[in-house]
Amino acid sequence: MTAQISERLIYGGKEIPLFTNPLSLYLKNNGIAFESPHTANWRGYVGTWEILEYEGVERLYLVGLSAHKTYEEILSLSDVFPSHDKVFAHWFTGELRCPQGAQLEYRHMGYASVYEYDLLMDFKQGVLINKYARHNEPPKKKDEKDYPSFLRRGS
Amino acid sequence: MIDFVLSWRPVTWLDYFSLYIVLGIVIASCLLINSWRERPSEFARGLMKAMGKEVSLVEQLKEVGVYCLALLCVLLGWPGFVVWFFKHKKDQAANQAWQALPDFECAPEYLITEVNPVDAEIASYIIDPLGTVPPLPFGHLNKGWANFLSELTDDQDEMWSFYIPKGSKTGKYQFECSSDIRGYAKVREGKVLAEFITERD
Repeated sequence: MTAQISERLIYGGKEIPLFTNPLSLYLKNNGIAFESPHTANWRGYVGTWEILEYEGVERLYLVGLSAHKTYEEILSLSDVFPSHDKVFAHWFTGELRCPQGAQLEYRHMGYASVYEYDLLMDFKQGVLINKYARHNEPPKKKDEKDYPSFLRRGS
Repeated sequence: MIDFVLSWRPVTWLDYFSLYIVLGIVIASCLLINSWRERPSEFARGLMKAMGKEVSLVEQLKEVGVYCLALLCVLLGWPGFVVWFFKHKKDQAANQAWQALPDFECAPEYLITEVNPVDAEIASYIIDPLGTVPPLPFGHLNKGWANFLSELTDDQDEMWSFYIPKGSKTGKYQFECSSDIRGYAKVREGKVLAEFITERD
């Protein structure tokens, strides 16, 4: 599987990549599926998220969407959520992962590439409850012999 | 000829052995025909040739040797192959039935308590100071809730709340879940028949 295009998160006035798909439960519950335009976007959409603070509580909102109804026809946030310019992700409980720093290793699969740091944010029903950074070690270089024989280059 | 075949009865051990071998030949022939029908297509062979993975003469001879040995085994030990064949068919049918089963995150061990749908709705309204959530039960997930309620049709159906802790094995394929999962399940006689997930990652 090809490495996937990330979601986007606006946090502290800066847009950073987001390696989590908080919209997936909403789409599943409502029976919505988008068309994949290419192999780097199997889910068929890219969402832009923002963490907005109100009276000391930070919440996760979907503020933008570019979703492929077909290869050519692209839907925006107001097409999927009529009369909404932002949507509170109250269904999201879990961890958001935002890669930071240099890419230490490219992995040709999903969001598996390794970066210097991961900014991790825990949410409960769309409300930010904890955040911390994780430092990732550079992955050990692999030799040809470390791979199973069927993955090695032919002699 | 047909009368002779129908009236023939095995008497000596040689007759019994011949009968045994004839049945073995029939089964081996069926297997040969089957493997001939499942041989690689012209396209597949062309593709193998293009990839430089053409089968050499030595490999072809080896394959013939393997076929001869396999046929001899079938000829002599065909009752075992018949048992294996029926077991294989039974396993295939069981596997197909398993594949057709719905894939729910919730399993009976994650059920918490039986809930009244009205009580669930009352507790489900979302507070959002920016007013981006519709004033409906379960907010933006209301459509999924309505679909779930429409499935609670039988008098025997019960609605249970469930909670799956992060890291638990869930679903038909027993994947480890990456966050806590909460929701409601339609339960009948202890079996989960539908689910509505209200929060997860």
